Amino acid sequence: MNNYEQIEAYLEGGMTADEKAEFERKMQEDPQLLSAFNLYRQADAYLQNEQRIDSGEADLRNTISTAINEQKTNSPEPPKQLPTARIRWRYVAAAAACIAVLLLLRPVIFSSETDTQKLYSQYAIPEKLDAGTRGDARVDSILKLATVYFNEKDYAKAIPELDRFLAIKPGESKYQLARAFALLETGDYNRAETALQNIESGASAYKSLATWYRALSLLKQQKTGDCKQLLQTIIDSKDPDIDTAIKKNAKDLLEEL
Amino acid sequence: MTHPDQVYIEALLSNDVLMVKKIYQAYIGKICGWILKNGGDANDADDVFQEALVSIYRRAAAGNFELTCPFEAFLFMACRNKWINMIQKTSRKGVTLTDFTGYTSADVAHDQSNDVQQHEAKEHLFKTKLAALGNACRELLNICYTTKSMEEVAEKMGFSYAYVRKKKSECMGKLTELVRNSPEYKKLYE
Repeated sequence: MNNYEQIEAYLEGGMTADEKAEFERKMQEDPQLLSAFNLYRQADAYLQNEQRIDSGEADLRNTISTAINEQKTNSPEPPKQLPTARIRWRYVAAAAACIAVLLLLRPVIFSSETDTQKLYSQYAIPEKLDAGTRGDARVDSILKLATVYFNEKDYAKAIPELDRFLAIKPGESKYQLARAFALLETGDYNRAETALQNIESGASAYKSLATWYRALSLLKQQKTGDCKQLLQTIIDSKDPDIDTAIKKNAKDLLEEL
Repeated sequence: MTHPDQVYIEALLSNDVLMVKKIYQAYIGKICGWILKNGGDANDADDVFQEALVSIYRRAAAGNFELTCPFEAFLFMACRNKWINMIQKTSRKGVTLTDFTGYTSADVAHDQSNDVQQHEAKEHLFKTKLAALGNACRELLNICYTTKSMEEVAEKMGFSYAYVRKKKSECMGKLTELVRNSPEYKKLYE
């Protein structure tokens, strides 16, 4: 048995008492083996805990988001614009903005310049992905990776994993949308917009979010006129399924443009 | 000695909704004030708060963690670390960070929040190296760590127990070598 097999047998409980004692003695005499053992044990602990901790993290994130949003929606609507002399009054503005954090869903503090890139990063906040399970280890492992990359905003790496996942599960529109967003982030606008239009033309629950992302795509490409037009379409939409938060975002963004 | 504020850590571990709300209400004002003084806005403050709590949760959930300082100081230090990272990622230049009023880097909270940060960096290192493993190894490890016993893994995959254990140890060996040979390893372990 090589060192790694021995470490595995030791940790897995596959050694007799004598073999264990002998292995421990060997580790004491060989610092390299001891170091390999320690790192192996850490990797083992990481892999053992990963799923439990990831799922706990997802739950905690939901709780924190709820805490933040509840605090904001329970408070009255604050004034939207800060005084123009905000440099001289920066401490006043700071205090006002601190109160505003409790009041506003999406404050427009300090956004005096309508720089499209800045606006884009302000509004382009995707929903976090939660891998869950599909009852198939291979699919789960692909999805897990896609989710990790996506949530870490490593979109270039998320795209191929999402491609692999959607090749197996083409109907999962939440992940189609996530892929479209990742494409948008990496500047692959053609693929992103085609994907978004496909979602919009279907019956998915993510239709209106897809339109919103398409508006963000236009914003990112600095096609401000087209972007404004699409935002107006979202605002004027009579579709009862359209999310009110999306309409509000569209309205806020249009005002800023 | 464990600080009585360990209750906040337990609340995060058990996803205690009421306590999380209380934490937010109690500390966001001060965090937001500090973020505004240090080049960010109110949305950044919410992000920093969320990411700091999540990191604290992940460290505590990994085990062997006891809070030995007041939670407030610990949370502020963790937020400070998060904000430094965010600034570096988004390359917002020209920001000189101040200390939270009343807390300096000499606090115990500083050591504990550094422990959180280091744990996060180690997790990230394992995660990225796991992603860099070949598909076969990644899938095998995934099955090994989502199945109750190695015997079940062997049965699922139609191999002998000894073969699966050997293969698993090979993949773990590859993973640990990828970790060891990375530039981050030196910083984190030596």
